[in-house]
Amino acid sequence: MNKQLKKVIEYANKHSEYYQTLFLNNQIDCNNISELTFNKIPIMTKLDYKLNVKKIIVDEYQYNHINFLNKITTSGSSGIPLTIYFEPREYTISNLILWRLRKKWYGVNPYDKMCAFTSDLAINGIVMDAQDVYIRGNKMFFSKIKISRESISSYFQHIQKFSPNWLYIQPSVMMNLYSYMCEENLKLPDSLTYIELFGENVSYHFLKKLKQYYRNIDIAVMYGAKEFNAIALMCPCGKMHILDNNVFIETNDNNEIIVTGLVNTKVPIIRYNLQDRITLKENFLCKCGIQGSIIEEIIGRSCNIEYIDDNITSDLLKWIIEKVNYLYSECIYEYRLCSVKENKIVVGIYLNNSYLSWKKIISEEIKKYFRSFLSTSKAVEIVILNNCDVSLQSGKFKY
Amino acid sequence: MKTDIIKQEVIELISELFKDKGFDVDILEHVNLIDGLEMDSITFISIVVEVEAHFNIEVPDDMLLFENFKCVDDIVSVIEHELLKKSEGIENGET
Repeated sequence: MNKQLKKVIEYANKHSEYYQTLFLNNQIDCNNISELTFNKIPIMTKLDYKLNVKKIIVDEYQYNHINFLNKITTSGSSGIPLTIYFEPREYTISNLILWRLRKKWYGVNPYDKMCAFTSDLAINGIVMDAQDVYIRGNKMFFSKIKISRESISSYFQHIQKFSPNWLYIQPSVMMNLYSYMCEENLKLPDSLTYIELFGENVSYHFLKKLKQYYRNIDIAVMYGAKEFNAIALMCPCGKMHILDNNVFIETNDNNEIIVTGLVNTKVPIIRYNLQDRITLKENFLCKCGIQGSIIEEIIGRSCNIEYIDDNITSDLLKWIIEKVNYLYSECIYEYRLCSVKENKIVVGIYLNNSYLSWKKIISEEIKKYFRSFLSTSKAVEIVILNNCDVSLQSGKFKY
Repeated sequence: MKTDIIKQEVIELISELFKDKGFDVDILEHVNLIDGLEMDSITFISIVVEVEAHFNIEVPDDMLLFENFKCVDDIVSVIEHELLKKSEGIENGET
């Protein structure tokens, strides 16, 4: 059995209240861990993590010491905003695992100039508004909340002027940028040697088109999650290698990816259902020289929220929820897009109990942000939900 | 590989990496990188990645501490340790 995996489980058993109870209730003998005992560990859902994270954190970081942990927020397209905790040194090691491969395969270093598109509300504590451009040191960030021809044209000019070494960009944004550049017969700056696509599924055909158009630029896909950092990176041969120093991967009967973090021992996440569906190939010997598991295909999310209106995607909903949660201290526990019709959008929110008397104010706040992006003919209705179970509802909101 | 040569190469790596910061190469050898370079996790990763690529080593997780990279001499010690481990591994026929 994977030594690091064993170490994570043993440590969780010794120091995490949540896992001590879990292992006891499921008769898992952590002194004698084998593949068989590992497979008895129940699968963790996002909701499990959200409800139990304070008990998942090991004893050393309980109470005030929790402030020493890195906090990463994710709204997530599954509809459950999460706060992910990571011990700082372990977070650095987890990132280093990805950077080693980026350096080896694509020659980039964290200090190289980079442009990135983000739907995050804040960068380094500074709140970004939609269509903001933010520079920090050698990095330039663009908000991707509303991508239009005007914004893409403006971003392209910023990129030209900034002359980055690499681009960190979602496939949907890259599609817009590529279309714009083709129409206008434009080139990316000569300084750019690498494009990394992340955050969304990429079709083989689109990737092939990009590689043909940007001949002198390496293009790769990175698959990851905020809970774990990078899970897989595409090598120059085009294969998605699992970062098996960072994560242990399995799939269930539905091909859903089940992830165990191998680095984050202080806030262990064991057998976590990421709700993406993949096909995995084990022990693959690649021409790049690496032998190990690869992701053959990312089929898609088990729960997918697609387009809301014209070019506005679910990133907008995520961004609005994150903004309202920022203003009202995590008031929204869970959310989902209940329906999208020609003239009406219905958003369901599950409020934190302390905010139930504020439901009208919070609903108006959400509507206000929506109105600034949507056409005036579209009404927005906010429904306060009484009970949420994302795992039962997954896959039910396709449009 | 001799210590002086490793040291010189490390100084060149760091000065190239942070050339935009305008460091005087002559004093880089004596600078506390945590205070002088305001080392954060990005800086740390940058140095580790370059050192590993240049010397063809991989620093194990238990050595990945800011304290082990706080000055050029510390970095040289880490490199020498890993190079020695590597050569002992080769001598013992490990792949």
